Amino acid sequence: METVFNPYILHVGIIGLYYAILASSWNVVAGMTGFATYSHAAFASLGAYVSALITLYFGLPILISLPLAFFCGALFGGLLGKLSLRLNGTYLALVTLAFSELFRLFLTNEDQWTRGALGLKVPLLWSDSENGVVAQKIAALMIFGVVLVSLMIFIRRVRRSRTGLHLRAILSDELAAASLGVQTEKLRVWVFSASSAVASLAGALYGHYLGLISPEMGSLSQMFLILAMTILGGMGTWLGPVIGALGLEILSEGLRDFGQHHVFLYALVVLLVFRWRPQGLLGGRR
Amino acid sequence: MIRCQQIRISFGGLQVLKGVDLSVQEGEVLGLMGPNGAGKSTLFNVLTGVHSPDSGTIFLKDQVVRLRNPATAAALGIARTFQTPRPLLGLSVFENVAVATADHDLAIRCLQKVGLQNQRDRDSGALNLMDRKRLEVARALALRPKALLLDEAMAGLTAVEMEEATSLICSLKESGVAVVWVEHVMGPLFRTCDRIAVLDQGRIICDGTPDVVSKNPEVLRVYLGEEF
Ligand SMILES: Nc1ncnc2c1ncn2[C@@H]1O[C@H](COP(=O)(O)OP(=O)(O)OP(=O)(O)O)[C@@H](O)[C@H]1O
Ligand SMILES: [Mg+2]
Repeated sequence: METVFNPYILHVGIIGLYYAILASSWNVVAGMTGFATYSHAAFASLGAYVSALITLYFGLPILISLPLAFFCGALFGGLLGKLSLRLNGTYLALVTLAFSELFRLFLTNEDQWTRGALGLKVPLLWSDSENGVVAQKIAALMIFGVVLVSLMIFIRRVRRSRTGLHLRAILSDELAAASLGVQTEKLRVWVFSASSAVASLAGALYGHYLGLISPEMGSLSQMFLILAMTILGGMGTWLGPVIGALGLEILSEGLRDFGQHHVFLYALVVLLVFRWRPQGLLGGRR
Repeated sequence: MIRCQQIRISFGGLQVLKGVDLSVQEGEVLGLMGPNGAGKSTLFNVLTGVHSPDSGTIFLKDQVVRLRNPATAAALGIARTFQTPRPLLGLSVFENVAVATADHDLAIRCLQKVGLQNQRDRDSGALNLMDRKRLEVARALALRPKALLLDEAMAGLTAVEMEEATSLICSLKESGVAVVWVEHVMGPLFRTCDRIAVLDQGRIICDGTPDVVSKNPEVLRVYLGEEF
């Protein structure tokens, strides 16, 4: 019991779930619909800052700021989808990358509201000291868990619906799908919007869990971590991104004891997985 | 049923369609021929909302329609096949058709019509060229089209297969679909079509019954040396 309810292990679990939510929601756009965007970490950061600013400056409770963060992610995600309607492949990657970096630079240089690169102190999910650290972490773990499980159920239902068939059609051939009556433009905006909303919600929760956020939350290294987790687990599969995210997070923590060799071992494991399973751990399944 | 007027389109300075007029009635089969690069597929792309024309008007049942994208065209009942088949890889043959219709029985009937019912559960990527062309037609039919644009359904088929395809087109005609049929293989075209239009370098140079077209001097010039 003591090892499981050790705050450090709980913390690793929570961060793992955070990345699982990000990887799964990114997988919906990139793996299941075929639009590789590079703005997902930026949306997590957007959500974190929106929720933080709302609680800090308007004094609203987290229970209200979370849905607002979700809504902002949906709005800006949909807008980005709409603006990039005619873009695919490399162009889409560049536009979303630019959006992501612009947002990060904006946050870094803005110091009146967000304190720039110093980072912003954010109200915690629970005001301190009421229950013990362990109880708080267990509660946080459950919240992230509920979000992840709801997301996974939702994704599964969508995949088995007609919309899911249409998304697979778009993934395969956007023009052919459209010529069969699939509303490719509408679905694209919808998928961008939904996926960004989930990222923003996850980011907001993450901020209120840690109590401190910085513009680096939306950095490209975070984005590439999400990407690596998704690909490692199996792009386009249902459960792959969750396995990839939890796996890489646990691996990276587990290797910490190896000190400076940790990055090397980490890279080695990732390379070995790709050597034996180029499609990702669950690749080939749906 | 479907009519277009003075369609013009150019790509980076190259004028591909230079004022094309064309019309097809319900239950009519219009053959569209023309040498390589004449603009036949481009015209189909305009009529299905893939490209918006620089100028010109499209009418469906005498109503002006603006085709914002291919999905709009499909929803209005304009279906097409692609010259190079574009099966939705990763989807089964049945799923390919099901993308176009939520009606399970209709999807099955469309597969039966083209003779693909026995391969319905195969991955569409596993089909050979002939079956891919069949799938193109089955998917288009699943949209319950008012107008059907066929881009080279026969190239590469054997004589028997061509007969099958021809009788399929005739059965569509009976159900009242307006068919525009692009084909380089002229035998079936001249035997089946009510009317034939010839496109050359972005212009319709002749539009009439097969008989009239086969004797038109300008058509003979374009197709110099080819047998009718
Ligand atoms: N999207 C495009 N961008 C640039 N040029 C194009 C585009 N689509 C077609 N063209 C050009 O338009 C001309 C007509 O092409 P199109 O495919 O319509 O000919 P076609 O009559 O279908 O010929 P074929 O019998 O070989 O299929 C060609 O010169 C082609 O290169
Ligand atoms: Mg062509």
